[in-house]
Amino acid sequence: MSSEPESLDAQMTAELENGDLDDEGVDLSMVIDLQRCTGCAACNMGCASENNLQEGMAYSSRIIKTEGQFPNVSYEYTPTLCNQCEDAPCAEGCPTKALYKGKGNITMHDHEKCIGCKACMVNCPYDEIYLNKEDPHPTWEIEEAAIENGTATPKQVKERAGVDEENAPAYYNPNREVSDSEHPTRYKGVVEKCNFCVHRLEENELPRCVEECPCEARIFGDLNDPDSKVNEILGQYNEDVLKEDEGTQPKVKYVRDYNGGSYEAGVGEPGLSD
Amino acid sequence: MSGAAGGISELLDDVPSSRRYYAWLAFVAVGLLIGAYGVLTTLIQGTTTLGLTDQVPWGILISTYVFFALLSTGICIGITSLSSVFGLSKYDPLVKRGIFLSLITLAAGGLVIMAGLGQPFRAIPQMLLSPNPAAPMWWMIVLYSIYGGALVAEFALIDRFEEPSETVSKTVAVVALVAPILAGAMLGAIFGTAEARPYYGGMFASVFLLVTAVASGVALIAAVTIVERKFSSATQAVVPEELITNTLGKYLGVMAAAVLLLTALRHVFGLVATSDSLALAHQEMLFGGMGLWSVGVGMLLGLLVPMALMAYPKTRTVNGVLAASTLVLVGMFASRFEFVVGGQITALTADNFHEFPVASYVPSATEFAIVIAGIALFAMLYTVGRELFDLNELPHHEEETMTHTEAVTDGGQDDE
Repeated sequence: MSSEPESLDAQMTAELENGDLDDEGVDLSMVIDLQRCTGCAACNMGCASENNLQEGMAYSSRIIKTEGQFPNVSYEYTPTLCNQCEDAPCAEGCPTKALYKGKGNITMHDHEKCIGCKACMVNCPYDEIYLNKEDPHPTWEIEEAAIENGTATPKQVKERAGVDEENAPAYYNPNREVSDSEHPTRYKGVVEKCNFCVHRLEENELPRCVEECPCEARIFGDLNDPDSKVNEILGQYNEDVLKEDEGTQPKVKYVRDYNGGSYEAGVGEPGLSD
Repeated sequence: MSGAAGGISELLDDVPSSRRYYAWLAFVAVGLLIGAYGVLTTLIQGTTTLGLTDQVPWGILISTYVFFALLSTGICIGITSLSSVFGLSKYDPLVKRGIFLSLITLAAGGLVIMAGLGQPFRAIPQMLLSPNPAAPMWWMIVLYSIYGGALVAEFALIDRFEEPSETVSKTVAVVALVAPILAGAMLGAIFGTAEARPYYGGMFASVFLLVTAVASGVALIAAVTIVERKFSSATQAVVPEELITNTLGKYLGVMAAAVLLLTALRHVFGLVATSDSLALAHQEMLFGGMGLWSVGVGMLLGLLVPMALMAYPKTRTVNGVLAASTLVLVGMFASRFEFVVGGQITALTADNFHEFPVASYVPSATEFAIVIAGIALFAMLYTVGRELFDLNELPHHEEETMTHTEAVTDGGQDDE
């Protein structure tokens, strides 16, 4: 018996470590295996926690489609996120280049250039761009305790923690400050979207949704690396993208459409738990 | 230009000091107060004061901006350039007032759109520091800025110079014609290039907005000129009744008919589309909750009634034209709202975070207040402008053009 095979996460992390995000030609992609995905929403929870997302905002979400009448019902669960389109209409229509194709061919967003015109939201065919209508974390200013005389108020917590309001407000997230790609403090009046957790990629860590997935349904890597796991999977299975007709060429791809009536076995060596 | 010489004093004599005038001033002041409330609240609290959602990110503020920007565009393309570029002297009495109206509607539109931005103070610096020539919005802003400059120059040439150089006047006039055509086309392209939203009709968005721009521009200049004629003898002397009833009235009627046709085509093509979401969007806008607004106000009251009023010679009187142009203005305001919101009313995905299949949008009180800010700013600027400048002054034409006057007048009589 050979030694225990390396986990998928470990293989993909090794790919990140061996590559360089800043190299020209790196083309990051995520493949989602719909047969493995159980719809547990750990990706969504992980994403919200990684990016300090407030209620009502989800860089990582899902489309649920239920069709037919009992007992002939089909249920489809499709995890969604920004598709990091090759031909990104959001970036094309952005008047100030706040949205642009950046390192790893990720569709990046520069908070400092965003004027909040919302053209990207109108242009995105996938509804994957969100507007911070108000400061994302106003709760730290609240002077009301959840349980009166029982818990501290958010404002008291902030004060006791000695938060330096000037340089680091309570919702300052040092994880997002590993490079100039992201802003450590989220604020109102700008749009936001998924960027494959670029702050994690810069530390050779997988996007949080990939890491959180308990079923290894998310495969992440460089399309331009012939040995990458994503290329291996895409070589074995037919890929699908959302709204292919839009011509946006999404970098988030789906394999093995979840449908009780069909199960694509794939070609060649057993791949995804065949 | 003897009419222009004593213009200002004449105009000041004409300034009504009646109660009605003070009531108007009070009305404008109240509008400005409400508007200031809306603008300041949004500046302080952010866009959370607006009724926008992630599915309907563009609402009544964008549609009001489109309304104002295209009023400005329409006046220049449809009225003032006919005189300043093409030498149709018949339109001379409308030129100076038209240029001024173009300028202040552009300003009102600018205020409304800036107030709705998430980061309004960054807008201009970032447009300059980080331009994206691939974006129609960037081009629209550049072109409207050039247009604004040309309007100021054109106005100054008439107001400040006794005999400006014909070459300079002509050049400025051509810029003030070409820039708004391109800017309006780019405004349409902002919507048209949003391929995910077929409601906007792709390239047709630019054509539709430019044609409707002329209709609304003719309506505004007709309405304002008629009201001025009622109060100012100077305007009455310069603008003949025939120009209102025969020229502007017929012009308005034809434009209302053209817009009605284009609007009907848009909806018919949409309703029979094989795309479920496109057909649903049109159904929603025509027969859903917005139906009263888009069909009742936008099409029947705002286009069909004015078209009928202008078609019958008996109703094509000065007051008839005033009624028709006011209706067209109200109708175009509704129509802009229908156009902007219609493209976003059907959900793009069945994402659990979103409404599906129809997204809802109701403008907030603050949004209405900002709309009032735009209207009040327009009213205030006009009220101040008519006191500062002689808007009845005729543009300067060299002799060559003067000979055209007669030819055109003759042509006009032939029309009757």
